[in-house]
Amino acid sequence: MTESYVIETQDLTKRYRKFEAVRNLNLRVGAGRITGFLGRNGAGKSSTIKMLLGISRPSSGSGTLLGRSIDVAAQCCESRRHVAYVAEDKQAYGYMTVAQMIAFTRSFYPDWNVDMERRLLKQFDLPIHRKVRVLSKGMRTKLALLLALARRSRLLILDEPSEGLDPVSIEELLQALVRAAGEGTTVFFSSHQIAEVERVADHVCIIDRGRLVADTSLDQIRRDYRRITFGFSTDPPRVDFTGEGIGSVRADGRQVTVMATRNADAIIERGHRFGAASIDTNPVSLRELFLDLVKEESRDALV
Amino acid sequence: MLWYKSWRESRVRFLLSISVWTILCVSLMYRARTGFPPPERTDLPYSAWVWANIYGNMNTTVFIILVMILGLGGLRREGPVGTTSFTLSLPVTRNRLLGVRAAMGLLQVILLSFLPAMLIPTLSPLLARQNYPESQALQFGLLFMAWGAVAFGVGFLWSSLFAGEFTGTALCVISPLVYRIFISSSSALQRYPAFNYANFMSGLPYIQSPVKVLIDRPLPWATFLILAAVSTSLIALSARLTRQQDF
Repeated sequence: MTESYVIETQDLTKRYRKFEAVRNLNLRVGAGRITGFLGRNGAGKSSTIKMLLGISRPSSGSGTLLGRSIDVAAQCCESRRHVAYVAEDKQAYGYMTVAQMIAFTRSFYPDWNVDMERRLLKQFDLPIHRKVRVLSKGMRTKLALLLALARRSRLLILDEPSEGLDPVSIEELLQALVRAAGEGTTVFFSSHQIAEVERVADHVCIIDRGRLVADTSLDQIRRDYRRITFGFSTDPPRVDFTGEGIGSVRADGRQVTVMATRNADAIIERGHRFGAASIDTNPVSLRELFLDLVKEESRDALV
Repeated sequence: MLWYKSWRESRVRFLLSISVWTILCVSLMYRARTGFPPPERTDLPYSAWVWANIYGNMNTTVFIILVMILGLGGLRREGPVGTTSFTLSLPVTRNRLLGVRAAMGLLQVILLSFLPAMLIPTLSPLLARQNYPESQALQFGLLFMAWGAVAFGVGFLWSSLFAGEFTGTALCVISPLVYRIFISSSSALQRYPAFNYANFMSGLPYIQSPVKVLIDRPLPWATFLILAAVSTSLIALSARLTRQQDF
């Protein structure tokens, strides 16, 4: 069965003068999943999301959101009918009250879920008659989340949703995401909080310096990814460790560490052939994978 | 609900403009109660007094500044407040967002233009114990509306170019003054009265009698159309710029 994608980009690029925020990004987000979009600050996460929603225009490349082109204003507008978005700053109109803000947003979505609205109002304890401008950041985030979740959208896009939230609010947020996914909404959320992504996501896309450096499921990381450390009794031989299933290679004195994305057994066998005195194999956590991919020095494949 | 948003975002500016304009009109009539006719011109008609104090002086520049400020706001202004992403993620096109804001602003310009036409004929008998013809007030209202729409278009254009609140306001104050200096210094442009907003709005080209200062020549309907086209073009240019902008 072929998988359907709610987000697809082809060589999507965004330049701000000479700076390339997003470079030839080929991103695919499968329907029905919770996909974490990981990257450091300034990696290009927000720029990508803004291009997907038509808030900014790609410098080159193309993409689709729910099967509609992101380059054509009318199509982009049509896809936004089925997308809920929580922006990084979570701002709403400060001059409106919470109730007015809800009424305003509701007017654009005929499928608005009134039960969800009531439930979240109660759960988040939002003061409906208070002006948005006097709400705390946590309250504003909760309001933004309510406005997004009650839309009954097919796709929920959140940009750094937990930023500035206290641990209790983060917990509520993550539960809300899992519940939304359980009700059939595809969730795509950007974050640099690895623990959150690891907790709720079933798929992860990692972006670094505007490029997609990983696109894998959390299950695959647990099942296939291994950190294999080869110890040599003398200086490691200058052998080519590149090949299928090898993510990165790092040499440190008499040790060579290989990040295997698959074929761990074959790589271990190769280590034996190269004369490794000791071989240590460990599963890889998302945190390790992320750090391995985004750390500059990890790119230098020695040996 | 976009209308509601547009109203909420512009209402302070609109109510401020209405207040300034109302104070100018009412204070004129209140002053007329004791100060009209002035001792040195006892034969001065009330219509000439109204013209000199409302339509024929620096109030035209004040009006132009007020309507230009009505043109401010919009997506660029939302940037520093942080709501652009929310607005642009709604299932509405940028054209529609701008269209509603322009329509709301033009409606406010119309109300502001005809405010003296509502106040002066109605309140003159009460406050000044004088009468002012409604038809005259309406004709001046049309002249104000025509140039008001152009000034609104300029303010609208500034709003699509500059995000800063003070930058936009400063431009709205400076540009009419600079424009007046530019027009006064160009003999070629002076041949066309419609180019000079103060001259046009004061009705001078359409007034025959310098004594009563009442509009007694036909109004320039073709010029109205040209000014409407200029205003529409400025708003369309603004929409075009906004469509191409990144937020």
